[in-house]
Amino acid sequence: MRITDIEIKNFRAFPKTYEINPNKAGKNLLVYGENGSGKSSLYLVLKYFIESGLDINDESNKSNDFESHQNIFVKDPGHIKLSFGADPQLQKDTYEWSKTLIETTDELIIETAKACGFLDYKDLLGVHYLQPEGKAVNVFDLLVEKLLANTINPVTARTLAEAWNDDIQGPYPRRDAKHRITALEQRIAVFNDELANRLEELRPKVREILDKFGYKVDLDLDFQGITYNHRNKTLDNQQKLLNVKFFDKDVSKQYLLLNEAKLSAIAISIYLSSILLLPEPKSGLRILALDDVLIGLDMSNRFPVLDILEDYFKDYQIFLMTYDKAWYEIAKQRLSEKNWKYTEFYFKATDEHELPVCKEDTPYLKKAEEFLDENDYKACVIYLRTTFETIIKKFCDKRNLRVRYCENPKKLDTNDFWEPIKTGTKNDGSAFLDDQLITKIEQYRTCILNPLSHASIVNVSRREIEDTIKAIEELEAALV
Amino acid sequence: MSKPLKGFITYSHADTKAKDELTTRLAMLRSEGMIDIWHDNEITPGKKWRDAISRSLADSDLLLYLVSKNSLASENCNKELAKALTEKTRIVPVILEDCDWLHHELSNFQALPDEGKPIIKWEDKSEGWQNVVSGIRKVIHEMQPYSAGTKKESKYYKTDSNEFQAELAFQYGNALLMLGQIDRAIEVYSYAIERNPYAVHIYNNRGEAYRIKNEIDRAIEDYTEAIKLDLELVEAYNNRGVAYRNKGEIDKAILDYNRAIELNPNYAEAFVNRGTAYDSKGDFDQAIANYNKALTLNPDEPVTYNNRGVAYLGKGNVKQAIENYNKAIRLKPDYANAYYNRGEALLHLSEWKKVKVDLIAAKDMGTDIVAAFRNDYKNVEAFEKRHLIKLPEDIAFLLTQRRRIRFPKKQKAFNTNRMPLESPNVVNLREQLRHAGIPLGKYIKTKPAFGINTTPTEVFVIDKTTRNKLIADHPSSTDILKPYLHGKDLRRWHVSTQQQWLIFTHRQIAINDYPAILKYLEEHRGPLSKRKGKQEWYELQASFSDAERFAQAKLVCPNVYNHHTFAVDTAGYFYGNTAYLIPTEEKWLCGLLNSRTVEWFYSQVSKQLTIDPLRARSGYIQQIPIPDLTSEQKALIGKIVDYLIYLQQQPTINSKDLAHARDRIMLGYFERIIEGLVYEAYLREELHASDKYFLQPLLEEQLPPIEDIKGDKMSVCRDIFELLYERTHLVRRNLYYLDSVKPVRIIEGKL
Repeated sequence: MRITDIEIKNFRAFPKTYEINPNKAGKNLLVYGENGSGKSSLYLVLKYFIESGLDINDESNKSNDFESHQNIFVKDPGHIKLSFGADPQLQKDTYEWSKTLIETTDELIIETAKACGFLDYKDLLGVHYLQPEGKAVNVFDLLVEKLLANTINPVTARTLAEAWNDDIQGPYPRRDAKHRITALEQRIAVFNDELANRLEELRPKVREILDKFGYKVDLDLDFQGITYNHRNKTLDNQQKLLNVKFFDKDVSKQYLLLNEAKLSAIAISIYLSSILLLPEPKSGLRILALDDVLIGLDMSNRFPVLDILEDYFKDYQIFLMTYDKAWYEIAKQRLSEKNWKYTEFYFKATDEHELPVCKEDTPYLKKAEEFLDENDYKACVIYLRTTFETIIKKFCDKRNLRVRYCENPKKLDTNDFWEPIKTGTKNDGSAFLDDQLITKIEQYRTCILNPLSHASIVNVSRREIEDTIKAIEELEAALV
Repeated sequence: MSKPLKGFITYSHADTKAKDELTTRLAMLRSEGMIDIWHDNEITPGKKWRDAISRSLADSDLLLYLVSKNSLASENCNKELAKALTEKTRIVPVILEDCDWLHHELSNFQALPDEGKPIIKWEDKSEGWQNVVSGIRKVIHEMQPYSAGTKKESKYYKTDSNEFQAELAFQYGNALLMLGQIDRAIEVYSYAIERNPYAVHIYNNRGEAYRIKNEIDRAIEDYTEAIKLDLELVEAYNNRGVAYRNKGEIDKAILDYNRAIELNPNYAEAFVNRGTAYDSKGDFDQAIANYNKALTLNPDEPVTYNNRGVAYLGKGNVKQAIENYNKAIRLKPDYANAYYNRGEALLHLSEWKKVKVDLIAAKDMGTDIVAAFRNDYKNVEAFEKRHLIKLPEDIAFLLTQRRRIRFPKKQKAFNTNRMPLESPNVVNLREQLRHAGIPLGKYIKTKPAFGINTTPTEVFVIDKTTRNKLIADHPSSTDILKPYLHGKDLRRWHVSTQQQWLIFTHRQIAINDYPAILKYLEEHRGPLSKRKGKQEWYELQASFSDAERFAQAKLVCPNVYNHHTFAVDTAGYFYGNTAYLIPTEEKWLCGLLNSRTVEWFYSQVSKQLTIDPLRARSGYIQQIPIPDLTSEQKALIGKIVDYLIYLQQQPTINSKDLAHARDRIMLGYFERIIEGLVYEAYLREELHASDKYFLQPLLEEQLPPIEDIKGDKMSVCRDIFELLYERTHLVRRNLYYLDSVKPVRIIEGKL
């Protein structure tokens, strides 16, 4: 079962009605959006919708109150509707969440809520305030309040955050209230057991995932258990609660100190592991949404995340949001179109209100054809050129073809990629492309696929363009 | 003429003069041989007072209750009344002075003088008395034909006509209802209805009994039946309205009140109820109009003023609201809810000192002010945001839910009269559970009961040193030194010795056979002989048969506990009255009773909904429904209970060492498995509809009974745990997603 349609009306950044379709087949969604474009609102739409039925008595549950999320510019009551379907051919079920109608207490949504992962960059901000002490760092707050906050105790069926906030926080009993102190200490013991056990369960998985990041480290989550100090009415042992220790086997790699990138990687690994340990719901629908969580990582650490997603989260429907356009483009190349759909959010100021615009990222060639249908030759040609560039760049990358080095990659032009393909050969010695196709491409390159075409006045015939499209299609087929 | 009726006068000694006046005036009736009056002045010296009273009451036909503020407050008077009610004696209240008798059980009887006008209010008192006497004469005449022979048979069984029997049963049912024996009352009413299926008022009263029992649907059925038989039965409409409101069906309630008012335009109560219904709909103007009307009909009803205050506050008219609350409090100075309401209203005027006084007053009188405030405003922050008033810290603190919230979290809502108003979800689920099995009281053969009274406990319960010394002094001591547990020593599943013993000197013990004990008790003779009761100074208030009660297999729980805490006791411990004992050999019942489902049901029916610890109440515990399971299924639960009993005794489980955290998780996980099994037992259809099974997958695992495990039992337990805990195991998955099932969500406090 997958999410197939998302309809948003007057919710947070979305005035009016929006439909975002992770495709009829319920694909994963890669979203690019500028700041304020509604990208994070989409993340919250999913998160709050799914969690809204969980505990309707709990006031701290932000998902409880649809009204507070109403778009501030529009009075008209809003709603969110999500459709779920197992098979594009089959009927799908739509659930609504609005001020007046709460259908999210349905079994399907609740089970989904208990099986999904939502992590955003704010959850990881704590990483930046951690003060490593040598090779150890206290990640207690980060763990209890963010990363493991929603993990559910198999015994009490309550979340770690509930146990932490409801059972253990003050006001603490008077010093002479023995029974109450005993009761508090019992609750602390339950919490300690749960956290200690949880960390023990996580440990192998976390290590496995960290390994994917290329960190050959042993992670020691060393939890001593908190204790209650009834003299001072404080919780003790919290400061030295959790030490992340790196035991690197290779002494020469002492440079592996705890920097932010590594801490981010550890945090992400812990979070993803905790999700992976959950039992699978009957519907099979599990969601993982990551909103800009990779911003703390440099490029080299982001690729492993994509690998991890593809290896471990195959059965999940993934929503990946980012404001980093370059990263978005790279991720697009990397993530197969079969499972992924790409969407971009832009921000458009209008007279009335700020309006996010989302556009689905269809393949360039298809866009070119659409513009051709609309007789917008200029736009069509731009997309054709982009398609051409994408194809040849991708091919060079895949085959490790030697490309002219250039300090500023923007100075590379299509010729730098085209030449190696034109002249290159396969392992068996045969050429990549036959001469006829090369001639065709070269012919159109000069007039249509010319890099400067977008600046000059387009003066080409429809016939020419159609031929070019055919040629590009041929080229794409040849260079698979 | 048959022999005289026996009459009995219940009165407070402060009213002796009035009693004398009455007996004098009854002289005529006495001489006519119609009545023989007995009152407690006539106890001959030396006779034991209580026995005498109890015996005379038992064969009295008529009880004259002299109603005054003194007699209402007197424990003895009320005991006599209770006794009379159980003996089915005819009761006639004689109102001496103004007092709160209308809120007393007595209000259900035809009172004298006529219309309940108190004697002291008659300008000519002797006229008042005369009214009483002629009233009594009438009553005696009514009773005379049936009083011959043994009273009880004639009253209840021997007369031929069904209608008459129904009527008698009806009266008896009313008496039981007043005494709070609701189940018994319902039985008797049902008997009455069998005799006379056309007696409207019986349906109405049985409906009332069901409503008190919170079986709303049945109550509504009965009222509807009553209405069917008599389309103009005003009370039934009103009562059905109240039942609908409790169910949350406000519109239906209003329709019923409308009808009641149509039939009797002077029916103040119906106006008040209709006002309340409109209030819960948010239609404050209509509500106020209704209360106004009610007040013109019945001007001194504090509830109406209180409710009108609520409606005014709803309209935002704070000053008017406060005036109404003032009036309500003036009429009824111990009206807790009115204090809370006034405090709440004063919040809007920022009169903090007054607010605090009122809130504390309400709290002291037993109102759960935190829950009430939550019901109105969610929390302090929400209130501040909505009304743009910043509450001072001390008041905010008063109104803040303490951190730890009792499970189930908050199912408490209040109607405008600040009585708990239950959501239909809760009411319906509770009734569903109630019918999911036969009550525990019927399921087990022997009656459950509390332990024995061991006061002074510090004398009768001794530690190891004393015990050894007593045995050393004389070996016979061993026979009556019994291993003993207090309620507070009990934990779930397993009872373990606390190294303390009870000196079991039951009644009629041959104390001289135990010289060491006698000598020990002699040292404490002071406190021992201060005790009340008939026992000898060295005896416990327990009989020899109590020993048998303790010797058999039983489930035990403390009388006060936070979560259901039953343990299996097959070791024959003795208990004081701080423990509750259910004699049974079926260990699986322990698993059932410790489940959240049962805890939820119990707290609902016994109305213990706040975060305070629960108290064991025998009547309600016996109502717990026992679902119908196959012996195989019971054995499965029993097996896991055995695991838990075993685990509970293991050192790693009792330590706090985090290295053994997983063992303790194991214990909790097995408890959770029982939780799942019990949910399935009670809510089979719902769980199966959502594909959640526990019984079947666990039966298929063929878990070994704990006693069959050879060698290292702990490691086998761990293996079983790891197997069932595996994230792909059906049991684990079903437990994890258990609360997606609606009734489970209600029980776990999430819906």
